[in-house]
Amino acid sequence: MKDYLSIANSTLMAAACGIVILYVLGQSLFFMRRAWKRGKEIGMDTKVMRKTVSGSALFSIVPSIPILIILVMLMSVLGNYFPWLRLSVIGSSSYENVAANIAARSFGLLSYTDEGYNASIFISTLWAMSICILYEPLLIMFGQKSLDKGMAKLKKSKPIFYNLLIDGIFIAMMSWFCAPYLTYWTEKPEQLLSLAALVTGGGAALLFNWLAKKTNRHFLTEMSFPGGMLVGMLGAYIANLFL
Amino acid sequence: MKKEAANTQETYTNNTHRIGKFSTLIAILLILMVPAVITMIYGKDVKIQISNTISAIITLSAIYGVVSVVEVVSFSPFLGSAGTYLSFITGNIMNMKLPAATNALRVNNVERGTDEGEVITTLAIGASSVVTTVVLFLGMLFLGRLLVPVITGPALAPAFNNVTPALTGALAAPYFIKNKKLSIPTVIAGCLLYLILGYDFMSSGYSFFMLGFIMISFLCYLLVYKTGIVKEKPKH
Repeated sequence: MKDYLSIANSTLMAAACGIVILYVLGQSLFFMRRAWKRGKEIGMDTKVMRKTVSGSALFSIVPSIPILIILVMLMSVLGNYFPWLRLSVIGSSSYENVAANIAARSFGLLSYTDEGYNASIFISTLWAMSICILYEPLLIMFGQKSLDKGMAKLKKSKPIFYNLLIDGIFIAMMSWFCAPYLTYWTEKPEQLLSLAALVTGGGAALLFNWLAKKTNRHFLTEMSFPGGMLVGMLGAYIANLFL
Repeated sequence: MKKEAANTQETYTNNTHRIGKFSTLIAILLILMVPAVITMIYGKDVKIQISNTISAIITLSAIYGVVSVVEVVSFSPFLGSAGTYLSFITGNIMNMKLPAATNALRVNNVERGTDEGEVITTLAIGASSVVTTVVLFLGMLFLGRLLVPVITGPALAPAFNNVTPALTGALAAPYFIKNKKLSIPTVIAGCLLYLILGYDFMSSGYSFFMLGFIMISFLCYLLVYKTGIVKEKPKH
C-alpha cells in the first residue's frame, strides 16, 4: 500500500469528510423544511409540494449513477473518503478529475495515477482542491443578495425586459448546451450516440407532453422529463447496436 | 393585505439570504477543516512542499476562477435564492440542480421569481441534493464497486455515457417548441459556431464562449422585440 493511502483511508479522514457531508445534508433538509412551511403559509397545495420533492428525487437517481464512475476512479488513487466528500459537496464529476490531475502536475507528475504520488503531494492536493472550489460559494455569499434585489427591481420596473432576460437567456443557454451534441458527430462519428440521445430524449419529452394534453393526465407531464431522459439513454443504446 | 403579503415575502427572502450566507460560511470553514486537520495530524511526518502547493492553487484558480464567475451569473437566476445557496454548496449544477429546478417549475406551471417559484425550486434542489448524497454514500460503501463494472461494460456504457445529452434534450425540447421563433435561429447559430470553429477550439474556451453567446443572443432577442419582428414574450 502506498504510504499516503494510510492517511487517505484513515478513520480521521472518514470522520472529517463525514462531518462536512452530514452538515451539507442537514443544510439541504433545513432549507427544504423552511420552503415547505413557506409553501403552506402562502396557500400552496401540499400535494404539489410533495410531488415536487418526489419527482425531483426520482429524476436525480439516474444522473447520480455516472458520478459513481468518477467516484470509483478517484477512490483508487485518493482513497475512499476525500472523493466521496468532493463529489457529495460542491464538486462536480467534470471538475474533480481535472483538478486532481492539475495538482499532481504541479509536482512534476504526469497525472495523479503516477507512481511518484506520495503523502506530501496528497496533502497539497487536499489544500489545492479545497481552496479552489470555494470561489463559487464565496461569490454567492457576497453577491447573491444584490443580484436577487436587482432582478426583483427589474421585474417590477421593466417586466418585458425581465422576461426576456430570464426566459430568453434560458433558451440561449439550452441552445448552447445542445449545439455540441448536434454537431460533434461530424468530427467524431462515434458521437452520433450523443446526437441520438439528445434527439430521442427531446422527442420523447414532447411525446409525453402531447399525451398529457390529449389525455388530461398531469402524471404524464411529470414524467416528460425523467421519462424523456430514460428514452434518450435507450436511444443511444439502440443507435449503438446499428453503428 | 397585498402590502402585508409583500412584507412577509420580503422578510422570508431576507431571512433566506441571512441563513444562506451564514450556512455557506460554515460549509466553507468545514471544507477547509479537512486539509487543516490532516495537515495538523500527519504534517509532522510529511514534508509539505508549499511552493508546489501554491503553484497548483494558482493554476487551478486561473482555470476555475473565471469559470466560477460565469457559472454564478448564468445559473443563479434559474435556481431561486435558497436554491442558489444550496446548489453552489452541493455542486453538480448543470447536470442535476438546474434541470431539477427548471423541470419542477414547468411541471407545476409556476413562474420563476414568484413566491411559489422560490418554494418549488428550493424543494426540487434540496431533494436532488439529498438523493445524490445518499447515492454517493452507498457508492462509497459498496455500490460504486458493484455498479461501475456494469455501467461501464459494453452493454450499458452507450446508455450511461449519454445521460447528459439525454437529459439536455428532454429539458430543452419543450422550451424550444414553445419558443420556436427564438430557439430555432439560436440553435442554428450555436451549431454553426461549432461547425466552423471546431469542437476542440470551442471546448478550449467553453465558459467564455458560453457567456459571449448568451449575451449576443440576448441582445438579438431585444432587437427583434424592439423592431416588432417577434411580438409574443418567451414562454417558460
